Amino acid sequence: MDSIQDHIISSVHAFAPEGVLAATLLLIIVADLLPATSRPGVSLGLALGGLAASAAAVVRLPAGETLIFAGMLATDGFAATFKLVAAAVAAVVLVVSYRATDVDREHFAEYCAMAVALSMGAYVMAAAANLLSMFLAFELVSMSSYILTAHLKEDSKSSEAALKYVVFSASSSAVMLYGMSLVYGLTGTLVLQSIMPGLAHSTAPLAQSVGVLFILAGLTYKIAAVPYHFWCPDVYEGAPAPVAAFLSVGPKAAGMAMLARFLNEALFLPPGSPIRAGIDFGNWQTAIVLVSAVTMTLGNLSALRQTNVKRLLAYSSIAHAGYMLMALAVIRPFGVAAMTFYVVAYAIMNLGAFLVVIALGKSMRSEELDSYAGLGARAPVVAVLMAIFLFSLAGMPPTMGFIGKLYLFWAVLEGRGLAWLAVVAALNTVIALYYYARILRQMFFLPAREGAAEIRVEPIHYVVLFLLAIPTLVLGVYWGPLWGAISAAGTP
Amino acid sequence: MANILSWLTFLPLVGMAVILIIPTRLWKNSELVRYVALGTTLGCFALAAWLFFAFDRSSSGMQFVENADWIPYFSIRYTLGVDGLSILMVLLTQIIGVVGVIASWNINKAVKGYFTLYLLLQTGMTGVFCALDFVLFYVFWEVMLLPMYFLIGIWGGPRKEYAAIKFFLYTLLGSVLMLLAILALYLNMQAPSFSIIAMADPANFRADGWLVRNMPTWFFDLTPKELVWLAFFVGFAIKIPAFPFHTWLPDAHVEAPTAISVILAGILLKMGTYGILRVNFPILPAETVHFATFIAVIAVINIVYGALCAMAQKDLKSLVAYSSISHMGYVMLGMVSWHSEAGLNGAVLQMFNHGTITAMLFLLVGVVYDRAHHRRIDGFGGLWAKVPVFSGLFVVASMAALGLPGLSGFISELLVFMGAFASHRVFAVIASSGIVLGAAYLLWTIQRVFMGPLNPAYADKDAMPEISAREVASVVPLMIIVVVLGVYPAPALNLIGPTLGSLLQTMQSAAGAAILP
Amino acid sequence: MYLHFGAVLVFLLFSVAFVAIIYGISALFRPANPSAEKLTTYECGEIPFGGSWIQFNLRYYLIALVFLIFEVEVVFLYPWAVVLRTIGAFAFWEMIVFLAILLVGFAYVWRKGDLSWFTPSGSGHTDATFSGK
Repeated sequence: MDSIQDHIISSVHAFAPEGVLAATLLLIIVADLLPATSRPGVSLGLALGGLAASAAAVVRLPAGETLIFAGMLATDGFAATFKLVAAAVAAVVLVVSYRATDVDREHFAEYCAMAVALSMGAYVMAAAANLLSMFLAFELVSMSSYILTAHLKEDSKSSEAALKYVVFSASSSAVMLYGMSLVYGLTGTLVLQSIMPGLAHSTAPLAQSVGVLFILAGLTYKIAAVPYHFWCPDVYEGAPAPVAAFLSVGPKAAGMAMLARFLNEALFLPPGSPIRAGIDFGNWQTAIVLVSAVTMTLGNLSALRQTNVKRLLAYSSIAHAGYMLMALAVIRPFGVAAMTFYVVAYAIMNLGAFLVVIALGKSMRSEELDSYAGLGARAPVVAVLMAIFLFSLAGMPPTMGFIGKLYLFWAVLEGRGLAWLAVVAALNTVIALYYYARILRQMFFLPAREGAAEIRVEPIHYVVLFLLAIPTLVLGVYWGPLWGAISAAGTP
Repeated sequence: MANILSWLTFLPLVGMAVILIIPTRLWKNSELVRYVALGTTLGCFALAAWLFFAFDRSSSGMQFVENADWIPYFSIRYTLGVDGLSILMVLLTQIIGVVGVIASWNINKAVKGYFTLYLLLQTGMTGVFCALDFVLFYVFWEVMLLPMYFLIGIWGGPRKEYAAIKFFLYTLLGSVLMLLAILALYLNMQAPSFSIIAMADPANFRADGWLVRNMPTWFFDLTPKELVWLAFFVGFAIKIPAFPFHTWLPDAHVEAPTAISVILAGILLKMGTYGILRVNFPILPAETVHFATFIAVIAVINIVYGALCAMAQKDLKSLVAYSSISHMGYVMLGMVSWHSEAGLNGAVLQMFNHGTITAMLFLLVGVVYDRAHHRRIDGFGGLWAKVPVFSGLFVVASMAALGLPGLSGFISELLVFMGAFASHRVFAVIASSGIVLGAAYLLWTIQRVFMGPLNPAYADKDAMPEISAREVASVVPLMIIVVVLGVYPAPALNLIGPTLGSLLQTMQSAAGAAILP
Repeated sequence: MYLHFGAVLVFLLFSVAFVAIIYGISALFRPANPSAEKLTTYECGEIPFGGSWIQFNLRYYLIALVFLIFEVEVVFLYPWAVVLRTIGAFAFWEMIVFLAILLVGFAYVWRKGDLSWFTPSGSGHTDATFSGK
């Protein structure tokens, strides 16, 4: 009794980052309730302070792999990396939202609180080492996402998007939960690391396959990979632009982390392992490879004909999920590091592209592709920044996106017999360039339409855009230290 | 001079930064921007001239090598260097760079943006020819692509958007295949290295390398290494452009502004053949031998098909564009002729000569387009009487293109055919028809544009002014080079000789008995 | 393997059988006097009228949610009270934190005016019908 209690009490210390976020969430609400501090600026300040403090807590945690709360969460370098990404993404989104048009300033405190809650869910997702904590974190992220999506109560598109989101999310959660219950029934354990040995003793191959497949299906929903990608374009289009930016990066990064941990700890049999189960990683590798190839191809092909920039970016984010999955198919350390590097790159460049949409939305009141016509002349700085982000998303040097793709290809070529997947991804890069170039074409090649609005961009948006564009370029030329940090962080 | 190649490569970036910080409002007519661009390219040219004189003509190895750590985790290094193969291309790049700025003088739309991109392009092109590390090479290769896309798409002709995206997609398709091939080679190395030089040494490859284990062997019975070779080849062939990847070229050339057409034809096309000589030949010599006939066939198709297409063109600029396809065929044909040194030397010299000659033709087409605002061949006639200086220059350039003895094109084509007759007799005979066809379409064009009665549209006094001093200044330097090398090609051949000699040895030893007919 | 689920099956069968037996016994002994009133919906003595497919005031759901939260609190408080003495101060402060979090939620609901039935703004939807008239 005492030992468990001691263990839990000692775990609280390692839970500090999440604890700080929880406290921040409450503080934001309390501050909003007091008339003296019920202002958007205060909410924003508290949220940013909390995110910074929790990031500091993540960094200060002693290195090395430890399981806390009786194996519920793992606090390793891998989780820490993704926690930092989540904190940074939330901070950027909140700063941008403060001056964005489609955010309700009257309810900005709730907005901040939900963003912090989402980050907390992302933290736990990155660290979850148990089916139960996986599900809890998954739901925490989902719930906060619904509320953020529905944030504009008066806007019917926002509500519609939220409702679609809830329906899709609920069904995929249910599927995942069913999968978890099957796995639990077969193995009698929820701890990821014990699942493979547990499955080794079970004699029901169909139930095994269905259980694991259902869990994977739920995870593909979170990263918006085929076949659970339908919600993504609708939600991104309907949600307020900053929320779409957040959803395209935050939950996706956390989902990739959770997927990586699940594959690595629950399904991966190290070579030469004495356990010979009815299933091993090989079968799931095939599934991941196929999902990856189909996701990137379908995402890119669907993006080709989009006329709404947010929808276009949504399909592009589906395609990027496919690229990232490609590296997970080779689960070894290099594949995981390549995926992590790509997640960081993707977070920076995709946020950048979305922020351009947000910054322009204020003057243009439109997110249609053809309203971007002549932007190169109307707002040259923003147009050039957008070009940088788009080239990075397309994977052209000298941007970070190229380095990310380089490592992904590299990881896949190292995997056995997966050269064809690399070729598929390479061809997809070419397809993707076409639709990114459609935006460039509108911005630089076409003249502005009659009566096009004059573009005014908030100073803070300029600042954030530059803060994102600089690493996009610099890390495309000198990425050594970042790669060193990521590969030192290790695998889940 | 230390780090000469870095200076040469990145000086345009300095010029670009200067242009970016010049406040536009102070200089309404943008003269200053043009002068900065001109100064930068002239500076590059001066550095290149120094390089030309300092280059050791007896060595076949890399010179002026710079080697520094870049990303130590994977032995990605910053390595620059030039040998006989690249120095000629570096020189050509700087010459065309200056000529291009002069030719762009009358660009009036978004001048700042134009020259910013122009100088970025210059950095990319020089970098490609100097880079000896594959990652660096690839970065420069792609960096060159971005400004090109915008230069065609913003400052181009009526179908600029189509031409720009077509160029972009084609080239990117080639590039990504090349990227995969680069990674495949890297993963096959004993010690991790992206060095193009280290990869040329077979001892550096693992005997049980990754390629042997992993690549599918069911694909048309090709070995993994042959697939890698093909990936490189497609990447480069798109740039050349070799049949059947050539369809982007007429579009891009016709729509691009004059100076950009000059750069496209003068330098970008050379990157394809340069890449094959730099990568496919030394790194995968056995595979190159295997595909030698394949290259020769494509070369012949390029020569004959390009010439036939050129003959059918109604637009002056697309005629020159198709003639480029035809002329690049000679380079490919010479490249795979290994019985004597003539073939390879002719190929590399042809790269340089075609760069200067076609640049002249595009410049002159640009001159006539600026005056007439159309390029229909049958829309002119009898211009000689009206603009004799221009007509004279055009005829000289055409003569150089069709290989008139005494002009540089003759020397390189002669060398190519000397090599090809020894190695690929049948192909050489078929290819020689390209010379006849070339003479036909060029002479026919001259006849239709300059001879006969003056087209009444240009009878008016102001309708067709004579070529201006600026335009002459852009053409004449190239013409001097063409005439000098036509009479005395030794300066160029001495530069490339030793390097190509050792490359030829590599190929001959890889081919063994196979090269004997 | 599946024998582990045998206990579940037995439990399931037993519970079904138990309910069936109880109903069966009561059916044997109780008087049977069916009337129309007995088939109507039970509404605490009121006579029901109208259909049940009507739009309820959204406020009911809010109140229900707040109610639910404090129900859950009670569920946690009982076992906590049982073991409080053995665990000691740590458990005490832990529960204080838990209650504080709930109180913040309660304060939020209160402050945002979701507990007052008639909002100060006097918007019409607060007194919307709930009885289907």
